[in-house]
Amino acid sequence: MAEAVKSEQQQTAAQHFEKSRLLLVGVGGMGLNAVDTLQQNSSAFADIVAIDCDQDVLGSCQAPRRVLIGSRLTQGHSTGGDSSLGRRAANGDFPQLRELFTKTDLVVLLVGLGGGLGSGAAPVIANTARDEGALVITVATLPFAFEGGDRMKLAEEVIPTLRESGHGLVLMPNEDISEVSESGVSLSDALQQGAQELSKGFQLLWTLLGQRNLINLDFISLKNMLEHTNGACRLVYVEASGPNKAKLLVKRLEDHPALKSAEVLKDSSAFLLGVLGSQDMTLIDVSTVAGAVEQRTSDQAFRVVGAGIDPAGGSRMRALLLIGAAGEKGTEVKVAPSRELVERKPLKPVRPAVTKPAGRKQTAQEELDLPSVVSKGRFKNVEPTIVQGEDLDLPTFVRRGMKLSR
Amino acid sequence: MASEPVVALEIGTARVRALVGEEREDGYLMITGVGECAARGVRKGEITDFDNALACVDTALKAAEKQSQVSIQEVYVALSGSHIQGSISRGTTPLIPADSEITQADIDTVLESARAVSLPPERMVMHSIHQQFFVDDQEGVINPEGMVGAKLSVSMLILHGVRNRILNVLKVAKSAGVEVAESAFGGLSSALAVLTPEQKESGCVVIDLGAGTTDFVVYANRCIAIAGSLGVGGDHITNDLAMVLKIPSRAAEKLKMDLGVCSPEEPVPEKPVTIQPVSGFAGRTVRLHDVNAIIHARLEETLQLILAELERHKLQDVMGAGVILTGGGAHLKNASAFTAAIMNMPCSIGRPRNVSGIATATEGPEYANTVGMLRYGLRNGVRDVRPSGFRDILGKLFGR
Repeated sequence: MAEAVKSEQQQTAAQHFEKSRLLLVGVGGMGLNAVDTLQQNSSAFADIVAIDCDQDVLGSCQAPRRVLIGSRLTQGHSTGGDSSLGRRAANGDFPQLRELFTKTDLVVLLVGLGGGLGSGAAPVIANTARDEGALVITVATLPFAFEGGDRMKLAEEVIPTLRESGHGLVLMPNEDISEVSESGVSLSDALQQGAQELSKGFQLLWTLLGQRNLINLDFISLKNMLEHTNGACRLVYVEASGPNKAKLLVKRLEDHPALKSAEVLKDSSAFLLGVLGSQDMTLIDVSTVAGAVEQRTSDQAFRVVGAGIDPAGGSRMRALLLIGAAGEKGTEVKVAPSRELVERKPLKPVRPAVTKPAGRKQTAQEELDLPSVVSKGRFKNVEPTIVQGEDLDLPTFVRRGMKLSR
Repeated sequence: MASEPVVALEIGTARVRALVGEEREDGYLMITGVGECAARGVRKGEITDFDNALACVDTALKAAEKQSQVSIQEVYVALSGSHIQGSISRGTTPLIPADSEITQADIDTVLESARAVSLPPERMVMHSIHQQFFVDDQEGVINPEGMVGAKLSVSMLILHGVRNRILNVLKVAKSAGVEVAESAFGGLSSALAVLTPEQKESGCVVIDLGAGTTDFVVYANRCIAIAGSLGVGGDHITNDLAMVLKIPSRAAEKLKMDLGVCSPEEPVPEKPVTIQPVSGFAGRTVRLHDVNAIIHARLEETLQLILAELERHKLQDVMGAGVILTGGGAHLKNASAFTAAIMNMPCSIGRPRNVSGIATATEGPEYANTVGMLRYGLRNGVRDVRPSGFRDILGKLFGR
């Protein structure tokens, strides 16, 4: 009897999954690494796609679906750190990308900023997915300090665009990952650990979104939460088991490197807390965790809490915390949200690069509504100028996903 | 004594221009008549409304006739449009017997074989310009006559375009009651007007920023390496501004002319820009920041496309004289500093050289195209030869 109920549950869940699809998309070298790790950890809870312009790198990726873009531009090689090449690669294979996102509800874009393809193509891909009606959360890792100022600069430059291209942007400084891992842990393990946290976090979110819960969480509330942030989020995932798992969970949250400084939570304008537990999880367990988080956030913060049972999760109790940075949408995102990072590597104010002057950066300003359907104006009735798949008659400004300030 | 007057005609996207000029004894070009008319019926260098375009050509020709006191019989027509593309063709002929001395006949044979390219049926060859000869494996031979080898090759730049679009432009001119003496790619004629021999020698790229198209011609290794036309121009900047800022075209055009692009060296000042009301538009204030971002994005993209073309042919490092910016778009504020920064090479504004007479035509980069066409016509010279299409005269004219 219990078996029958369970299988029925699974069936409805399966139907739901069919209806609403989660797509994990890895873009560029770092994104592909993340996707590979996810592939090992996620028990087929999502469709996974890898996108790159480097044939060899893409070939070695484990993702079931791999999309090569920009082959005409790079002849199957990497962009060599040229983000404009990355952008053009994505723009050039726009139809192929669009096809990926039809009938998808949630797209999680995994990308490492600082490289050519990730920095250039990710905004285009996010935009494409968004236009196809999916909720787009971009998870971006920032370069390690030792990767050099140029990569950090490029990452900084692309953040505003990236934030505006999707619905939410989760920034994960690689420095944070090294923070998580203890000293003496190998680099690949450290990166693996970061990807695992990410994977588990999104798996939890997806489970909550895809089932009926004790305290329900759905797409609309996720979207609302993201709208109450300036577009940039931090993601924290913790789990605990044992007799005092709720208290242990709170302790782990407190100890999480991303939450080390109390301001991160206090200053947040919105947060989403998802809790997933076993059948024996009590209301007190949930309220212990939720209470601890609420205590540390401001009263004005927009909050979304969801809690549910995951029979497949064993006796663990797991929590995901998405913390939205405060401020109007479009305000400057702190590139280095963790205090440690700021101390270790103060970011010099960069002179506007010649090829990407201040005009490109849309900071500290609110966005205006952009023509959703862009008119071609005087080029309406003439043969379009198509170069590498891009219709050059449309304003470059619009094609690059730039926004007006107010 | 000056030469017989020659007439050049450019049916541009923004303006139709007719110039009458003659060559003085000292080699200077004397402009005796200018006729201009704001163009209608032309988009991106191609005819979209025959009657409107014809009316404009008629007006321009009449004005030029009136000023120069010349009755215009035939014109040299400059052509542009994104359909115009360049390809490099290579012809080879074995020398029989091997190691025999190369004769003019061998050269003719190899040129003929390089010229014989197979194009899609809708396309026609506009120019075939020889670049360099190869004797066996020796590159960069300028004149192989008398040399010894087993095989002679030549590389040739073939500029080709869509037949009907070219013929449509010529038909407009013919319908205005003049004969078309010859026509040439506008990018080449602009280069002819503005370049100094030193610039050609050191290698450079001429970018003619027109309203509807951006033509480019690259001189490298003492020949025209590549050339072509992009279907993007100043009109796109205006249209981008109008579309994104939601302002009338005319206001956008004024904004573009007044502000141009901000200097790449300095940060963009934070300041409001007032757009004056026009009929049907109440006026507005926008941010300089936004205006600059829109123009910047378009201009950068256009230049990057040309840069990509240079890089594709590995020519970016041999542009000793850098970029020569010409055409109406060269008037854009800070255009040359901006171009220099994007292309990472020196940039100067190309104005017609060695020209006298009517001041407007002698000063402005927007006249490079027509002035170049005049030069072309004058050097082409022989008036009684009936034109039978495009001829391989440009190699001598534009090349070394």
